[in-house]
Amino acid sequence: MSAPLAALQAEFAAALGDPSPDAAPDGFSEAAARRFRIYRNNVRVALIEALAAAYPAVLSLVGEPFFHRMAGVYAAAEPPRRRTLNLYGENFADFVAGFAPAGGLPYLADVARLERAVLEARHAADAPALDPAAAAALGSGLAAARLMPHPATRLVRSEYPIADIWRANPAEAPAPDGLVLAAGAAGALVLRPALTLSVEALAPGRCAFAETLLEGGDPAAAHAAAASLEEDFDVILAFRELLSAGAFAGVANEPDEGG
Amino acid sequence: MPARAGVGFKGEHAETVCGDRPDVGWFEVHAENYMVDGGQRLAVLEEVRGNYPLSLHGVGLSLGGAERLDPDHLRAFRELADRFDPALISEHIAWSAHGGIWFADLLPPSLSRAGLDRLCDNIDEMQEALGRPVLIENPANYLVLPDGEMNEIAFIVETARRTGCGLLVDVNNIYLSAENVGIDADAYIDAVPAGLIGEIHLAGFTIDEHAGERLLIDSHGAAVDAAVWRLYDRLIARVGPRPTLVEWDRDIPDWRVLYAEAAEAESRLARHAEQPVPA
Repeated sequence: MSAPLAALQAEFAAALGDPSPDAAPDGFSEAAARRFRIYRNNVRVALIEALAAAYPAVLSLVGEPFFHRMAGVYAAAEPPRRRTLNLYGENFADFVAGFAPAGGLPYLADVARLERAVLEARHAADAPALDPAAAAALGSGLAAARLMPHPATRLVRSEYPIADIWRANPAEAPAPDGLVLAAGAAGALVLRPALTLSVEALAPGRCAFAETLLEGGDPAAAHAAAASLEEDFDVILAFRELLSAGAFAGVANEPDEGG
Repeated sequence: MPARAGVGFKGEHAETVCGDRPDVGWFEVHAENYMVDGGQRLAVLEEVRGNYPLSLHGVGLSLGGAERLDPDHLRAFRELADRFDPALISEHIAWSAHGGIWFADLLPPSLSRAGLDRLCDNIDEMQEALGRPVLIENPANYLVLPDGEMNEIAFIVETARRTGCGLLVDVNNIYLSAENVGIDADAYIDAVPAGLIGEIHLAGFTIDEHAGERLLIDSHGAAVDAAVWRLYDRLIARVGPRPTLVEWDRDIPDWRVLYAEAAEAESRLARHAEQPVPA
């Protein structure tokens, strides 16, 4: 119907994705071909800036020049498929994990995973958190109940103290004087039951406990998972704190169907 | 929408805008930034909308694209329009997507017969989905495509005539296009039919020097240039006051700086308030 129009835009799009800095669509005048770089640059900068806004701790850890190089390689390989950059960079953490020049920072990919979780939590659907009293009202049925995670709740496993690293980098809070990394952290829990977002470091027992619940396991199974890692795991305290922090949105009616 | 100055709303100014409720006519947001499921960003926009008229400005529909509109994106746009009941809705005649990839930039529309037909079909679809007429914005030009068959303002006016849409006249883009590709800015300004103008955009540009060539870039990261104010005066002296947006999207300044730009636009609007506004 409008074949020349489609062909021109296909050429334009292909030239935008061409790694050669002098690439330009066929049929362009010399001046137009020379100026094509403006669009290449706009596209590249827009994507790098979106990643910089979404991964401020990663940026802070590697510095701006390194981040821009890394993000530029990612953006060229993974252009946006959706018409907004709000959640752009879905697999950026996996890319960081495989980005050889960042190999000296083994925790970097996990920090990126945490920042991705924070981004998703920030934009997740709003929902009221499960009232701890409603959970308590289940009585003895609670041990076999399945809890529905709040839409914003995310758990990120890592053998590095990513919550502390994240907090010390200028994303959410100023760096404390002399950061002390929590020993033996197993992950980080991201919560946003209302509009305020929080990130909490998880010790191995709590991490296994929360992870089991968030994946649809019942509290009895979660307790067992935690107790296998920490002999004196305080399940009552851990459960009460998770509930009151707003990690869940409700109790599934049909235990077999999960959340 | 009141024929006053509006400001592009930025999260950086949320506290001032929601707390102090500064005296500006209205706010505009990019629709795509609010296409999220929930959270703070939407909650703040609810609050802004509670206190001011809102303009919803799209940057991702790719109206000038050879492809049909993305149905998911159009649906998301409609949901926002339903939720926030904006006084104005606008998009660009540029394109921004091809083959399933979004370029996050406004790419130059083809000023050809085929480009016109496709653009009109896309605007028809957008207006049908939204159930109301929209405004379309002229692009900032950096180069001339090889397939052009008419001048830009004739192309835009014909598009409006065929689709019933109105015009969002970006005066900064007209000035940039004049400097970058040699169109006559005064003639362009004078050729915009008064009755079609629903909104005006003002913004700052940056200068790019590369290999001996000087280009003006539509960066939205600086104050409005004196030459752009002059063109703005020329436009509103002829057509009368229109809702006028001050855009500032990068290197975002303190609220007071933006407010001063809006106040400057308001004083110029007041000077031309005696001009008749076509019905």
